[in-house]
Amino acid sequence: MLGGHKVQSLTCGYCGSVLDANDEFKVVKTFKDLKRPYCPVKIGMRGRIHGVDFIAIGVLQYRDNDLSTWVEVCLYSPTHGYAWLEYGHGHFVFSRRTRDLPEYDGVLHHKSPFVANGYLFKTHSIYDATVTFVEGELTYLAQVGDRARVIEGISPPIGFSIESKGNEQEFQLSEYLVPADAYSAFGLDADEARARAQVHPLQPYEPTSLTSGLRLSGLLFTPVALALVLYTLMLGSGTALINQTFSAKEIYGKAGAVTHQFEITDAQRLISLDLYSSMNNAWGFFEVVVKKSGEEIFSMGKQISYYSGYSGGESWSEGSTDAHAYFKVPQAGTYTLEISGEGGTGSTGRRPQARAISVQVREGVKVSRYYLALLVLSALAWGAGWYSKRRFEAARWDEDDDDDD
Amino acid sequence: MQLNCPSCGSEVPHQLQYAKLVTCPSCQVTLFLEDDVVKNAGERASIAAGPSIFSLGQPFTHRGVSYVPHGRIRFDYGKGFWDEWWVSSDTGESSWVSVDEGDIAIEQPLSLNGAAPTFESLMVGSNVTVGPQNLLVTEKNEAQCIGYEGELPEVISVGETHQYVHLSGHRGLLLTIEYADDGTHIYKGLWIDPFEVNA
Repeated sequence: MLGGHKVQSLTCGYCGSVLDANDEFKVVKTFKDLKRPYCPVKIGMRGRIHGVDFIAIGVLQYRDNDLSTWVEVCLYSPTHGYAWLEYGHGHFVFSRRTRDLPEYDGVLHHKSPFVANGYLFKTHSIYDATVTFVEGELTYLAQVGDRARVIEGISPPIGFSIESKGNEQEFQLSEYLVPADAYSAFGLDADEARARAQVHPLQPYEPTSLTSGLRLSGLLFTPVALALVLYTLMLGSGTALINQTFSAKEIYGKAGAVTHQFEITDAQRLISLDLYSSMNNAWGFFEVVVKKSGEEIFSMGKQISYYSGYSGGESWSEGSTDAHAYFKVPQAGTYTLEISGEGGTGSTGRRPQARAISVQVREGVKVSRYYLALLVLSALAWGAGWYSKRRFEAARWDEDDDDDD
Repeated sequence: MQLNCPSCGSEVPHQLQYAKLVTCPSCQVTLFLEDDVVKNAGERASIAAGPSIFSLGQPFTHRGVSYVPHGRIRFDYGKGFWDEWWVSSDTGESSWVSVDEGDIAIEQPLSLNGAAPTFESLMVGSNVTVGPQNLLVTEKNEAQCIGYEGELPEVISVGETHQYVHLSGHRGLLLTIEYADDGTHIYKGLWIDPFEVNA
């Protein structure tokens, strides 16, 4: 016998005979043609878990309502008593009996909370577990076909189960073991471990280094980018230098239009040029020449086109009624803008629409688009980490992404 | 007051004036004090050595409290045995630590207002109210002393039997009722996790 005095049955894994340890090892029942399930930890193996030496003394295989199966290895320590090592789909869970009674209101159902052993658990599964294989020494008279009603609560990596058999109820406190640690505990080669399938309810979320890095950078840069965006939006509009409106006759005339003079005080500061027109179903192309003391510094072309209509019961529009440009001047001083334009209406008209053009120049603007891009990218990075965890938790609860839970 | 062993004459440890049973350090006979006279308790059944978290005189801690085991009694309950360690804590309290293959509980005597339920009235699996507590009867059995060692707060004999019932409550609460010839004794304590014991 490998176990202590609480061993109550011994089952032969070859002939399937169940022997009652309390009745001179009389054969209680015999189960033939049982197929031994796979488990890397076998009867007789010794291992060390949390600093305590255990020996594997018995094996049970269970099947639940969904026909999913798993193995539970009964472990014995002369100093720490009996425990269970559950193995299924590549996952390991270490469980031992607890005397703490769970506290909850009413009846437990899916996701109901309850408290036990100082943890707050959420009910994860309620199912019937049926024994399909027995071998070795166990602390009770276990037989193939025995059935227990199980309620499992999770607080990953810790779990709590309530097992009811007949008029008996037993409580187990469980802990998820990283497979490499479980293999190492029993002196097994972790390289031979079978890959983990599915997400175990108690499995802690372990982000990859990529998702960790993305999430961390997102956490770091998102608030920074947001602050910069807000700063540029609130304080980055600059100082207005000119705000003039020209008639279509002036802009589209042969001579074009010339703005008032304006002073640029700091050549290092960004200048913005905004053109606006209330044209509709028309376009205008404007050449803007920047002059300092009458001398051309540089020129640029900007286009405004806006079209709208009503088709198939819906309104539509395309284009924009304004145009923008940002530039810097080589030196501070007095500047003017000369603006000349051409335009048309519709798609083929060559006569510009008789709508005024507003011109505004501001000094010291701050462009938020780059910070906005940083905000979007960093938020996406953080979101990638969040989504990875969200998917993991959905798999833990066996929920589809489309579920509302 | 100096006390001497009636078997070998050696000076008896002074703890005898506080504990009820002590072991003579010279001849290992168990001694007890009655009417200021040191008496031989008779041959004590030695407890077979085996793996244990606890050992006499070796301190251990649980949740920040330090304890020292002074004595041990072994009881047989038919299907197996358990040990009752008499320990004192660094807070000055004495307790009993019962150990049965990893099932460990720390208990102290409890004075109950009113009578305790009788042994016959309690059924395993039933709920019972004791004082303000609503408890579940989890074990009911009879135990026999099969050995003891060290210092103990009571005189006990090998072969003594008593009936007992375990009642469990929330947060590991344990109530043990012992029905002995000298009366009913109640102990209250907690089941503890052996992984939380540091020895």
